[in-house]
Formats: sequence, structure tokens, C-alpha cells
Amino acid sequence: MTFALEASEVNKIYDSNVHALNNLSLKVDQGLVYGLLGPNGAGKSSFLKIITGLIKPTSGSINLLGKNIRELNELKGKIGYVPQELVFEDYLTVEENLKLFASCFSISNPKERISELLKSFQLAEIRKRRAGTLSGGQKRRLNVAIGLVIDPEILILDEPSAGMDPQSRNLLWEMINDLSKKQDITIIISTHLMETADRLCTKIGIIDKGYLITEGTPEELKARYNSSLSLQITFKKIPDQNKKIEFKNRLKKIIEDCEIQEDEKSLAVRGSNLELILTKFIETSTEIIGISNIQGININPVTLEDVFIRLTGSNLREGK
Amino acid sequence: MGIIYQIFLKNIRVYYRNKPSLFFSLLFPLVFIGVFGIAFQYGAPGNSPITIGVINLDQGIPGNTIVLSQNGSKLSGNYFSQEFIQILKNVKYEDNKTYAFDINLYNSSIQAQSDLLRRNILALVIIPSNFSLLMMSKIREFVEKNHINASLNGFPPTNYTSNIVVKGDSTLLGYTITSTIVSQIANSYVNFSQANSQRYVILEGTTQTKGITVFDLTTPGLLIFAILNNLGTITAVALMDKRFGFLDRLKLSKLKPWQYIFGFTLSQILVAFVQVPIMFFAAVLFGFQVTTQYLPAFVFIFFFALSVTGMGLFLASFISNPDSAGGISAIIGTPMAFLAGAFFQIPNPVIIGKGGILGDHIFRVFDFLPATPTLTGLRLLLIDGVPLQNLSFELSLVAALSILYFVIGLIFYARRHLRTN
Repeated sequence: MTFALEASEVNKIYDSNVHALNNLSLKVDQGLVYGLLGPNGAGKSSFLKIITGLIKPTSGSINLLGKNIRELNELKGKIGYVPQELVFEDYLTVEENLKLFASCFSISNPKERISELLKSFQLAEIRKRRAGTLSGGQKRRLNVAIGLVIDPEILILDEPSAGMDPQSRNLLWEMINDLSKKQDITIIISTHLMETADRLCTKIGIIDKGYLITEGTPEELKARYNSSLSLQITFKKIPDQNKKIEFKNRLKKIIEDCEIQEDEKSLAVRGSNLELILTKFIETSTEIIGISNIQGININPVTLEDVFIRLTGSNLREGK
Repeated sequence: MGIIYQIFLKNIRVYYRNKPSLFFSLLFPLVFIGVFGIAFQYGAPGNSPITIGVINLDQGIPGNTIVLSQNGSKLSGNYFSQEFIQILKNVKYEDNKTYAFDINLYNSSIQAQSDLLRRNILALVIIPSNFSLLMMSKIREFVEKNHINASLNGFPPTNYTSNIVVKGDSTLLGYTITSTIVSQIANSYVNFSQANSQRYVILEGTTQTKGITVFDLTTPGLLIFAILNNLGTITAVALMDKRFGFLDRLKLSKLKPWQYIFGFTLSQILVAFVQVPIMFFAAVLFGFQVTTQYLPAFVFIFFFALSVTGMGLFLASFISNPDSAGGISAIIGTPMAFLAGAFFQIPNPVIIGKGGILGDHIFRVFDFLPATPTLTGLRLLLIDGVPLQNLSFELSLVAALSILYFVIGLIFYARRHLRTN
């Protein structure tokens, strides 16, 4: 099987002795939409820059589209790259920027392609405006459009939706979805938007402190980490502390693999056995806390974000 | 070619759409043209002679040596230095009536120095003791080059050197004019093999000089200053292309580094080519007396713009913040303009002096600046109307220094920004 990307034991140590990547290995099948999740400083951007050949790894090997990344010249014109930063010339208009990059990529029919991109990214009306005067969302759209000025075999997007308004973001996801469906294109995307990754990506890798912690399809990840169910009980009054302790101990005895989180007026439990948790959780809470003090019970399906928090101990959105 | 054109076009657009760069490249030097034009266009000495002093230390032709002129008459004593002084006396303004110099001959250097300090004379020309020997070595060179059958007993070898010194206050216009004219006449006179026939023309009293104003002398310097002012923008653009990831993004395209550099450099040269005529036109409006040699000036401008682009690339290899590019470029560019003598001549800072590791050759800081030979070339073309073919030395120097500066800048920039880290 040909992989669009094969990264093997990639390490990156910057001059300041910062280890950005630690023995990171991953393979991405051709035609997949691969999501790279991780908090800020996890090493996502370093990894994406390494696989595009923009920075050299300290060690390890990378094959992109069957070629070693060192042979960057042979890959030129096949990689679409959208950096996290806004990379275009502020003093040029939207159209001039697209023309410049189209010319540098030596694409055939540049006029037609530029016209398509202007239309697809809703930039046609502002084609004559200087890029520096655009709104944040418009700039982001232009940034992505430039990455698509060629018809790439592999598209690498580094946090493409950062700073986008919801409307622009949805437009971008639709475009990516369409691209992946219509063409045999491999898309590697780093994002911190869990719901989007869940919806868009066929495979996800979670990266933290330069390590690839885990990878799989969104469903595999949720199942693998007992994340199928989360129950939360809320109380009318703050229950007695002893009763809360007793409740937790009892529940732990009955359901060994459960995880309990508490705050002042609620208790939440997570585990893999839906039936057992549901029965025992309600039974035990009614018995110890008392039915009159129970305000409600919520059943929550666990998200990728829960998986992420569990794996990294960080809140992805905040990058803390 | 399309890629280079797009890079070129991008830089040109950035230039004219960026108000600060337009200001520093065009408006700022134009203000200088206006200020200098108003202040100095009437500062001309007019057609009045400049009082200068001459000390003739020439020890003459050795008594036992026979030197013949072209018509066969025997030359002796201080013939050459006397002839040279006579040429200086005969120099006239372009009205062909007024002599350029009123010459006081001194026997004592103490008296001459004293008069110079009191500004009784504006410049002091010192003819060296070996002037005649120098001329004899030039005659030997001429004879040998032309295979003339003549006895050269007692003639020094062809590589014999000597220096005519012009002393004075370099901030005074009279000194500037004197040193320019004396150096031109001395070069022409001493270079016997080239200027044999011209010597006699000069003796007939046809050498003329026009009434040069301070503004005339300054205008070529202001052109240099304007091009040096582009340094900040060149540095900032080269830096921003890297800093904001533009170059990284282009690395994935089919653009080759040389195409980027070529397009970038062409755009900077075009900016200089647009700047100069505008400045030139403004200077003419303010009274700059231009000769017909203004088109060849663009050859010098081309090389100088190339050197400034090289400097910009060099600076962009070391500066990390584009916002500081303007300030740092001004710190480098402005002293460079002063050192080259763009505004007024300054004392020469000698870094390797006479008798040092390079023997009798004297190299000064400004000898290594492309601005210096550019300025000399522009002054000779635009003020004196010297044809380009007579400026091969200045042009070669500008070309060599500019290419050197450009290559150094390119190497540093390529190593720092065009390679994968």
C-alpha cells in the first residue's frame, strides 16, 4: 500500500534545546483526511513544516507521496500548504496575490483557476481590494485559497480556521469536504476544533509535547478510551461531604473502571458499561443522597475533547 | 520569465503603494534638492578668479640628462613644473575671458600655510620635488610604447610615482573647485603618453571651466543619497518576505532562488532608474547646470543600485525585525553618503597609510564604498561633461565594488533565508 505520508522516528530539537518532536512516527493513507490534534506548543506546526520540507528534522525520515522529503524539487507543485500565519503580500490585491502564486507555481490556465478560487472562497467581490485591508475572516480565506492555487496531491493545512468567523469556517470545511470527496487528494490538517475534526477527519492523531500519543478514527478513539458514556447528577442542595464520600466509595466498589468527577452541586461518572453505570449510579445516589435532593440526571455522549483531555490533561481549545 | 516578472511586479507594487518607502525614496531626497537648490544656486563664485598658492619644490631635470621636446629643442631645469603652473594660470571660465585662478607663488611653505590658514588663499598646490623625474618616466613610457628610437639614459623607470598635493579647507567651495581642476589637469598633463597633443592645446590657453555652483557639486551627491535611502525599504521587503513566510511558501512552488533574487534586484534597479530622472529634473528646475552626458550616468546608477540591493540583502540576513530595518539602514546609509562626499568633501580617513602593508598605495575607508567612484563618475559626467569612455577607471571600480557588495549580500541572504533550516 502506498502511503501519502510516512514519517518514521522524527525528532526535532531547536537551537535552544527545545525538543519539539520526539520519535514521532505516523503513516497517512492516500486519500485520507488526517487530523492532527494537540495543544499549543505540542509540535504540530513543526511537524507540518518538516513534512513539507520547510525545516529539516534533527533525525528521522519522511516520505511524502513516495518521495523522500529531501528531494523537495520533485515534490514542488504537488504540495498545497496553508501555513498558520497569514502569508501573502498586504500591498497586493486579492487577485494580484493569487496571480503571483499561480505564476510561481507555473499552473496552466491561471485565469480560470483564479476565477474558480475567487468564487469558491467568496472573494470575487473583493478581488480588487488590497489584502492588508481585508477583515480577519477574509484574510484567512485568501490564505487558504493561495494554498489551493494548484491542484495538489496532498494538502497540508496548519490551523486554517484560526481567527475565522463561523460562516467562513463552515465554508472552509465544506470546501475541504468537497475536495476530499471529488478528488483523490490527501489532506493533513491541524486543528483544535474537536467537533470539526470529528466530523471531517477520517483519521486523527493526538500529539502532545512532541509525542504522538494515539491515533485512530474518531470512533475508535472514543471506544478505546471508555468514552462511550458520561452521567451527571445535579443536587438541589449541597449534600453532606460524608455522604458524597460514601457515594463515591460505594460506586467504585461496584464499577471498578469508572471515573468520578465532582464539584459542589454535582457528581459525574464515566465508564464503559452503560447498563451497569446507569442502574447502579441511580440506585446508589437515591439511596445515599436521597431522591428529594436530586435535581436531575444527564446522560452525555463523550466527545473527542473528552478523549483529548483524558490523554493530555489539557484543555485543547485553550491550550493550557 | 513570467515568474521573474511577477516577483518584479510584486516588489514594484509594494514600493509605490507603501507610503513610507515612497517618502524616503523620493520625497525626502526631493526636499533636499529643494533646500540645497534654494540655498546654494546663488552661491556660485561667479566668474571671478580663485586665489590659490603654489609651492614649486621641483628639483628639475638632472643636469647630466638630455631631455628633448617633440620639436627637438633641449629641455632643462624646472621646465615641466613651470609649464604645469602656466597651464593652471591659463585656465579660464567658460566665458573665455576670466581666468579661474589667481596664483601666488611661494618659496616658503611656512608663509603659504599661514596664508592658507588666514584664507588669503583658498587652496595650496604643492608640486613635489620629483615632478620632473615623474615627467621623465612618463616620457620613457611614451617612447617605449611607441618604439621610438631615443636615448633614455638617466630616465627613471616607467612605474615611477609622485604626488601633487592640494591643501585647503575641504568645506570651502574654492578648495573643492581647485582640487577638482588641479587633479584633472595634473592627470592629463602627467599622462604624457595619452595626452601628448593635448598638452600643447592646453598651453594655447583653451582650457576652460564654467562657473560651478555649490548646488552643481552637490546634485550628484543628492542622487547618491536618494538611492542610498532605498536601503531601508530594500532591507524591509527582503526581511518581510522571509519573516512572514512568503519565501517559505514560495519554496514549495517552482520558483527557483535565483529567479526570486533576479526579480527582486531588477525591481530595485528600476526604482533607482525612476528616482534619478525625477530628482534630476527637479535639480535642473532649481538651477543645476547639466552637461549633455546625462544618459551615460545611468550606467553608474545601475551598478550603484546593484550595490545598494546587495547591502539590503546583507542587512536582511542579520536583522530580525522589519520595523527596525529603516533605522538600521539609515545608520549605515547616511554615514556612507557623507563618507563618499555626497554633501561635502570631508577629510580623508586613511586606514592603510603610505609605507604600510600596501607600500605607497593609500587606501581610505571611502575607497571601498561603491558610492565614492559613483559620485566621482557622476560629477565628471554631469558637471564636467567628460565622456563615458574616459571614465573607464571609475566605471570599472564601481562595477567591481558593486558586484562584490551584491555577491556578498546574496551569499549571506541565501545562506540565512533561502536554505532549509
